[in-house]
Amino acid sequence: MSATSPTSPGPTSLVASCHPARRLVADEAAAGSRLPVIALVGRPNVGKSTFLARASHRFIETANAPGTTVSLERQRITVRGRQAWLVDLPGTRALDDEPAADGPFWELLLQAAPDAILVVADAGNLERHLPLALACRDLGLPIVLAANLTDEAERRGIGVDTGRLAQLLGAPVHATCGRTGMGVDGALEDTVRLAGARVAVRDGTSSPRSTVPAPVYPWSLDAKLTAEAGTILDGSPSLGAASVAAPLRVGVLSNVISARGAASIRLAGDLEPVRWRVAADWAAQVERQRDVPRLLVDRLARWATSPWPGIPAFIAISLAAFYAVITVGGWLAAILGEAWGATVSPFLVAAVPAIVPIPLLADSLLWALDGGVLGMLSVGIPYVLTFYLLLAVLEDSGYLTSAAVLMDRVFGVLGLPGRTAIPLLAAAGCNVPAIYGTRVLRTRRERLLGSFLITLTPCSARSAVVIAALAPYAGVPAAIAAFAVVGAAAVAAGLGANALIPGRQPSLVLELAPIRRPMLGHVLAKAWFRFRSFVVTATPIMLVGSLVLGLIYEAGAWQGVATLIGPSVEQWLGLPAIAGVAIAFAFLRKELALQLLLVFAAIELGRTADLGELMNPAQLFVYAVVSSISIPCIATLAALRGELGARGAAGITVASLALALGVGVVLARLLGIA
Amino acid sequence: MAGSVIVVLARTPLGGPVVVQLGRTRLALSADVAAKVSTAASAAIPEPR
Repeated sequence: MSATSPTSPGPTSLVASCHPARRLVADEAAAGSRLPVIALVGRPNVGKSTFLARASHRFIETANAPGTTVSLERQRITVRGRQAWLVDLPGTRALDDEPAADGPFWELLLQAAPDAILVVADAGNLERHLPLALACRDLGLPIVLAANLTDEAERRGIGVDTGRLAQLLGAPVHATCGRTGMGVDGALEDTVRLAGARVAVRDGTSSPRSTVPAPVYPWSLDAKLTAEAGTILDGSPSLGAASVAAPLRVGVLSNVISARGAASIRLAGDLEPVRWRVAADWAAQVERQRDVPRLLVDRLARWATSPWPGIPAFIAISLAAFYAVITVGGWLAAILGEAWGATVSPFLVAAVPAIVPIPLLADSLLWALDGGVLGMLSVGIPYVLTFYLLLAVLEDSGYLTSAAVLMDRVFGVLGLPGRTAIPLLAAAGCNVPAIYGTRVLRTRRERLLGSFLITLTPCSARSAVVIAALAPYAGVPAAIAAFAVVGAAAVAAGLGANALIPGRQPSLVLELAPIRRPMLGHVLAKAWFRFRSFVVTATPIMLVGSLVLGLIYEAGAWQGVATLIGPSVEQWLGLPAIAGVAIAFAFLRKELALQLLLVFAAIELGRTADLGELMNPAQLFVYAVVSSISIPCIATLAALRGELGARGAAGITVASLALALGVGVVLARLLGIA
Repeated sequence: MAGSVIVVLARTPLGGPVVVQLGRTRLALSADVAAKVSTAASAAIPEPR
């Protein structure tokens, strides 16, 4: 087996357009190069993405937590000279489940248009995983079962008679371990072979009977399936909602699934209890259990969700992660910043004015090329990379789902599930990846509420502003108090938003991931994969934002802004007008709330900047809190727009601005500066 | 799933989720779901989300 060739298109997302896989199939058929398509299906957290990465020798986003696969990834693989597309689908419990909250799983499966299905199941928990294999088998497509995670099953004393299971299922069964690669090649080889045969069935060069499964259901249910299949083929209006019937009928007519397969989706409510009974019976027949000592990881998993020692451990782990991000991030920031300042920065300062003869443009370009890149090196890269590494370790260990359970009641007050703790923790590093992290939340309401809380969470840049503005001039307790005020405002706003936005949090039924030793390769690859995505997203925004800011500043337009907003800032917040300008420009980059204020202070005072002379401690306190809460930076806004749409992004922006002004006005009154 | 035996492993404070063992699977159930399961011997546990 080998990975995709250098000339192959490589990984491709299938969610960007409607039915792209079907179009791909049509295009390839037209070109006479129809490759079989294999769908990778399994329950969440069973190792599908690791399986795919092992099969294609390419990294795919994986985690020891449900819901890692949020889009369809396909890879071209070659097994013993035969090529095929392998499509990774989100984890699902049943074909009518909605893993991505935008339609049932079977619709995604039809979009992938597979010629065969590789079902990945947990070898240590077949009773729970076989119903999905049966449901896939009912579709009329050839299937292969990979009894995965055999290493974990073995440690728990569980063995599987794969030969007997293959007899019962009427399909090849392979014992596999995605983490080590054991058995993966064999499972893929069988699946590619069967998928190729299926292509031959579609082409009419082979008998379709070779892929028809033997019946396992009672005759009455079997008869009902046959009758329903006839109805689907007839296109009878009695099928019910057209939105369900139409895509099923299209799937049947385009030969993606059989008519009985479509009927099995329609009759899932009748079939599912029978599948569970059959699965329990089969699991009892094929599993071999021997006595083994209880595993340490199982004890750890139990402790992690118990109040004692789970809650103290959660607090300790969270604080340690936060401390590590601040310490390691700060250390990296200093190294990168100094290296940039000593090498590239002097070169740019000399070269740009020489190349660009217009001083205004040259100075503005330096804001982008020197200041903008330095901003990425001193904030984005060190803190975000460190955070991603830690997050990858916590995810791969399986601890995050335990943390989600412990935090569920706390976040439940805000209308959010406990898994919100994951992106919120990310928000302390940078809001942008945290906004993308809200994909772990299932409903739009949860994502809206979660994103709002994230934008109110001080990122590393905003935390730096709060600490640097307050600690030297008002003392460390004042900085801590500012964080407390921001936190209290965020909680109050979250409660208000929960009350105002219609809907309520659904009940929690969460399957807990086992605790596992993180794999170094997974952790590094995962952190790099996300970090690269962050750099690609954030760098252009930082550069363009810095250029715009530079143009405004170098052209002296900031004085006009000061004249415009100055009276309101002085009267309502008790701050000098230039403080309002710094907060407004921090929309481009949050750390500028401090940097720009120092520049303005130097201009205003006519000498080396000293915030202590520009504002008194009370004013600095109000400034730190307002700049921390006020509208998200442009990079966060771009992420919000992408995830929630323009309306959601605008709503959150307006709400955070109103909250910042409200808190600022109250604080200014309480502190006697307005 | 109806009639299955579950073992309560942990209860989180403030009426938070209950962690149960169902066969070889550990599930976290919010208090309302846990109440339904504990008061009706034949109640089916919904599929995890």
